[in-house]
Amino acid sequence: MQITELLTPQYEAAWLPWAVQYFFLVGMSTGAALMAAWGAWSRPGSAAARALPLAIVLLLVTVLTAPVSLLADLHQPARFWHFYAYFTPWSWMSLGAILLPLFVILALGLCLAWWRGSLRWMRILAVPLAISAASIVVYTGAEISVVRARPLWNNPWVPVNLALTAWLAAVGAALLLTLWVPAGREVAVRAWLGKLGLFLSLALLAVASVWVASGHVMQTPSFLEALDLYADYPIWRISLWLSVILGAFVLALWLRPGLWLHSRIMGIVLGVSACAAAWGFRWALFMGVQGVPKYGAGLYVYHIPLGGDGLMGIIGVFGLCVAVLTMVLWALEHKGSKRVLS
Amino acid sequence: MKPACPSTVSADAAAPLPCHSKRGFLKELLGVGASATVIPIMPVQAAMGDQPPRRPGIPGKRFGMLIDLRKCIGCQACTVSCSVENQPPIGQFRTTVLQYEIDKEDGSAPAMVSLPRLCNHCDNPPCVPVCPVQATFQREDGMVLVDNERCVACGYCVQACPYDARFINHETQTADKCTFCEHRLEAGLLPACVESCVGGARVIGDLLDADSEINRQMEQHKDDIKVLKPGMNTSPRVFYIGLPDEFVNEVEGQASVRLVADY
Repeated sequence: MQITELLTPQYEAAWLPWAVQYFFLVGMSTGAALMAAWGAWSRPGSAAARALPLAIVLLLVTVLTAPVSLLADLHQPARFWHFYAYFTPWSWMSLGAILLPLFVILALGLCLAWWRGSLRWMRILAVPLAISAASIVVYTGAEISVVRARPLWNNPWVPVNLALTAWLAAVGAALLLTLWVPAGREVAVRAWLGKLGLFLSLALLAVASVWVASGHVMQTPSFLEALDLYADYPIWRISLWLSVILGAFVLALWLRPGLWLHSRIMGIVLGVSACAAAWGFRWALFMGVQGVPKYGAGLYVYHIPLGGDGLMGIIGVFGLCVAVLTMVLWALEHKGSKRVLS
Repeated sequence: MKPACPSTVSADAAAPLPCHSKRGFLKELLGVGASATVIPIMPVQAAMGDQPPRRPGIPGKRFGMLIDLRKCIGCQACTVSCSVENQPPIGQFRTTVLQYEIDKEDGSAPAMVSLPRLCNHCDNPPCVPVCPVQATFQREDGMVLVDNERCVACGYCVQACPYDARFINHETQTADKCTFCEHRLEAGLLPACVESCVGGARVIGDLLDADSEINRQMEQHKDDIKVLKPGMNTSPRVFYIGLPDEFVNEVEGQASVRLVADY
């Protein structure tokens, strides 16, 4: 029996590329927060402590830009105050409206403490910040994985993958920041980033293997749907193999630090690749999965609009990141004390 | 699916999700303990994903719809009358009729399936608990509605609905969906889609009234009543007569023409 759809509506994606940007940036900021907390509590002089300026700059840039993308993903951004007027503790998104500002405040507090050179305050703030970062990881992961209508979201591996890829992107972005932040000139700091990256890449490989193995053995709905998509649609085959190639490339570079530790170009390539892997995962998870019909056949083809809800929005958020980064670097160069810079 | 006589509806409505049954068991255990020790225990606040309390509706009723696919000719009169009544933007629909061609391998003439779709006004609507501002809610008469002055249009309910029944209205920029024409029901009128259906395929009625037309027809066809995606545990309140098994969960087939909103 062959069924052909003759007439069905096109269902649009309700979450726009803004959501991809938000999850990318907020995920990186949790990674940066954990790196910063680690650095604050490490023995002064250790690699983690010396990497602090990288973590702080990344934290500041991402924690300021992420909420902007989140606000933009609301089709009624001016109504954001409704989140507080009608608090809804049984909805993860509503909890997020409380957890996110708390995280932003703690992150800004840590950045300020670092700027003032107060190790005591940094250590005091680092603990709640790390807990707050964990709360962001939990709420963003849970928000997606509770959606039973979408099997590719409704599984416990999605939050884990979101967290690991986000932290991988944070390491990659920190590697990119070594181009401008003096702390990154030290080989020991870059090597430390390389170790973190290697650990995260291996963890991702392990999680992906467990997902495939458990999916194969237990025939989980998410695995079966992924298999169908892979079998039926070239775009999903291409996406999968692209991510495998990118993942393998990043892992190979982490394993051979000699290739990038002393090469500016290769450092950039590795940093961009790690970020691209995390961003691409979010693009597939949000924009790709929203194109999978919940009931109908085929795929809903997503045509990216060129305006604010599409391409300009994506470019705009990255532009905002560059603008904030420029201001932060300017402030560090012209206003920062020598103690802060090194 | 049994006919929705009052007892069945309430039994079905009370059917909890697996994850709820554990909690229910613990609550019961607590309740037993409390009654034994005469310690008053306040009911636990709603846990993550729980259905919030329903709001008042048309008293004493629980609306549902029965769609007899044998009577649907796919004329889209419901689609048009709904659009005239509720004025969604061009290319967006609160109800519409999906149309499929079925080719059998025995060389017989292709069969056509016309499948009217709308919000199922589920008894366990997954779109309601996810709403972060309680803009979408369910009434005691079962209707799932959106307060579009409160809605922040985060799109979470659109994701949570397993039936693609919701959309972000391009004009109001808020979540939109079928309301069972609640404004017409309150005025004693039938929903636009029911009133315009040329074959009389759509029947709306009170599932709590044992003598209602919908319950009468459901009883008559009780062996052939199906709902969409029963495995989602949403307890839909839109029932179908003559729904082929291949269309219950999702359509495995060839995608063809889609109405693409060009705005």
